[in-house]
Amino acid sequence: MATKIGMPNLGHTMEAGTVVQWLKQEGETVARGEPLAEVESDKVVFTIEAPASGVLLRVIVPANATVKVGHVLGYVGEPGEPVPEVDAAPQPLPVASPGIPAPPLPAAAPRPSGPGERPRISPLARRLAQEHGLDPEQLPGSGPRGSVTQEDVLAAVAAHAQPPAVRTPAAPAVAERRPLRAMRRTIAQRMTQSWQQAPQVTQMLEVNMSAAEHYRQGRDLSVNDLILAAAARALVEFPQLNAALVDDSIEVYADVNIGLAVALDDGLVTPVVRGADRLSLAELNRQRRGLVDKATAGRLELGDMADGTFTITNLGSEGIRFFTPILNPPQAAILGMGQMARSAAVVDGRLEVRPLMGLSLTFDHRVVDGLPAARFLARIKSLLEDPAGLAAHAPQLGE
Amino acid sequence: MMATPMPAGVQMETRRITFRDAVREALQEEMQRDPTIFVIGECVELRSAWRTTRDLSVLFPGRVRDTPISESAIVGAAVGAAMLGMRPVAEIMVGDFVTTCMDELVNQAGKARYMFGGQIDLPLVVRIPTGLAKNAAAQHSQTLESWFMHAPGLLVAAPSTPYDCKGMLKAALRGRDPVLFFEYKMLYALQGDVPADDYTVPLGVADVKRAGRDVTVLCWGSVVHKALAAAVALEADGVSVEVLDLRSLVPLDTPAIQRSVERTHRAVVVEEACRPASAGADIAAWIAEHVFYSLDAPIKRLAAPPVPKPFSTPLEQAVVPQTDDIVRAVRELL
Repeated sequence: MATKIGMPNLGHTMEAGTVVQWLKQEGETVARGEPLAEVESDKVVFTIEAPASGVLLRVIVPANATVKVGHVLGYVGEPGEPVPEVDAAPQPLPVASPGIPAPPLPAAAPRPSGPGERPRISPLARRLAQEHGLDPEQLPGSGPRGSVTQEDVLAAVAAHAQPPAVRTPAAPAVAERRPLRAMRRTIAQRMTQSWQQAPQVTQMLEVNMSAAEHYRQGRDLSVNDLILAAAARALVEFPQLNAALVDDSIEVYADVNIGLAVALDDGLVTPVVRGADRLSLAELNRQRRGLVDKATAGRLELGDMADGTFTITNLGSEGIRFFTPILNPPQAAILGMGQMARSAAVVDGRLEVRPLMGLSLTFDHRVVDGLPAARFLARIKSLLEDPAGLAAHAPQLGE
Repeated sequence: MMATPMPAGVQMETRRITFRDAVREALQEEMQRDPTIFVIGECVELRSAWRTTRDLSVLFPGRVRDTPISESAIVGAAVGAAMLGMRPVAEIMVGDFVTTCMDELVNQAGKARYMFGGQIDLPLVVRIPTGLAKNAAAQHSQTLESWFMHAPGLLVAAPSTPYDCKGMLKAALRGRDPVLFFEYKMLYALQGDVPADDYTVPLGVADVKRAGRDVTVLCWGSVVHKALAAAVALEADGVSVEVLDLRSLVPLDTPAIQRSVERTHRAVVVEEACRPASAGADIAAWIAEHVFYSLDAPIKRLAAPPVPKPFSTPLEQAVVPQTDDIVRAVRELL
């Protein structure tokens, strides 16, 4: 009886194979074990040996045809032996032919992994990648057996977060099309950096804003401007809060550049008022409004957000009194403004209704200790409770 | 063996004692304090096999009782005494034979409070000298903690230092529950510092024996010292290993496990017991279930293969995880 020659299974992932060439012609004599044909999977070429001695009775699948594993390729047997009826045509398989794109074969694995294995991605790496909007399967793996690890994801996040080196002249248009994911990625990366690297402590106190409110009457000033001015003045007096831990040294800044956190629909930006300690209240007001308008319109340029040495953030509009702002790395401190609300206050031993405002100061405890930070915050309070002093400060430039 | 330091932060006058002294001192101090405590076992009275009960029969006449060679009788008597208000300390001289008291422990001791509607406590301590010794062979070398982890109502402790041993044994002797107290025989000679004053170490609280950044090695009993040696070896390569000594297996300090693995993102669970259905298996499963998204590498397990513990010294060494095995396992995760 004729012996069947089948398409061999050359690996766990092999579903089909291609006949490269027949090494014998139909009718040619073959000895058992003699090379009969070459077949190919997507990885290897394999020589089929004759399963029995005799002649190659019939070739069913010609060279270059692709059939499923197990499909009959031909028969070997005694000369003249009948061959079972087999549909000579190979089973139709999607094979590469001109004009028809080949089906996606299992592509060469991007990293060393065995046949049929999923890419090795650690659960932590997968979670982090998802949080940062990255596809972990596209990342190179440096862990054991080529697995993608936390380190690989964080490296990719850092790479993505690099700002473009050069801004094209078409900046405003690009700014408007800035994808949400890029900003979120930057925020995520910077906040993670802040949270992981800086031991941060938050202190809170309440400020009686009666005098500040009185001072603002008839002037084109917002509470933000007074806070900005008070912070700038206090930073000059407490330079250790106007600092950053860079590598292994504390850098105390000579400039007082105060960033203002501005919420956007899809994130947060921090334009910077440069040299805030040298600006009059009126000038602070003008610059602050200009920067916030630009931020809201999405027209900030990189330069507007660079070189901050301290940050002020404000959640008062939503009724928050106190919160724990997170440091804007590498800055050593950030001031959170809370809601100013008419509240019960003890004034000269009597219960009075006063506009009180909560301030929350977060500082990097590697750079500054609790007591100086508390004194800094107390100084801001005293400046706000006597705003005339702030105006009097209005230094070199005059008011 | 090296002496083990006291936990960081313990500031008091200390003495250096052996692990076996820790057992004896805990028994002596608690027997002094509580007249309901008595010791029962084989060779505990006249000639203490492990010298853990030495001189106690002189100090406390009638409260240290030798028995015939019948572990089920020892534990059965102890369970009954505990039900009636005594605090027995039963010693299973060769821990492997605790298998003969499974009914007394699993079906009686562990369930008594539940089945009698909370009317009784079972303040019983069963001391189980355990683990590989030198050429003690297949019936005298096993570690069977996991068998009792599976039985509700039993507490399982396995300290690694004289400090932990003394403090945990004293805590066990002040509790309301049956405690299986596994003493790794190879630790009996280990020296370590203990406070001069009275103290206890609560059951169910793990201890970071060495803090590290990159990998957590979870272990208990004698393996802790192999893990510490591995951590020292790996430190030379800049690999920072945290050694988390679980100390108790029931209750298991899962918050400590979570804290550590969430920080290191990698876990190696090491034990002397046979691998299938072991304590380590349960711990590894807990990590996989609860800390999965913090794992940066597969959980690694080191345990003995499921074979009888051999008599031959080289095979004895080969069959349980050694320091080099821990070093290798940690490296494979990085």
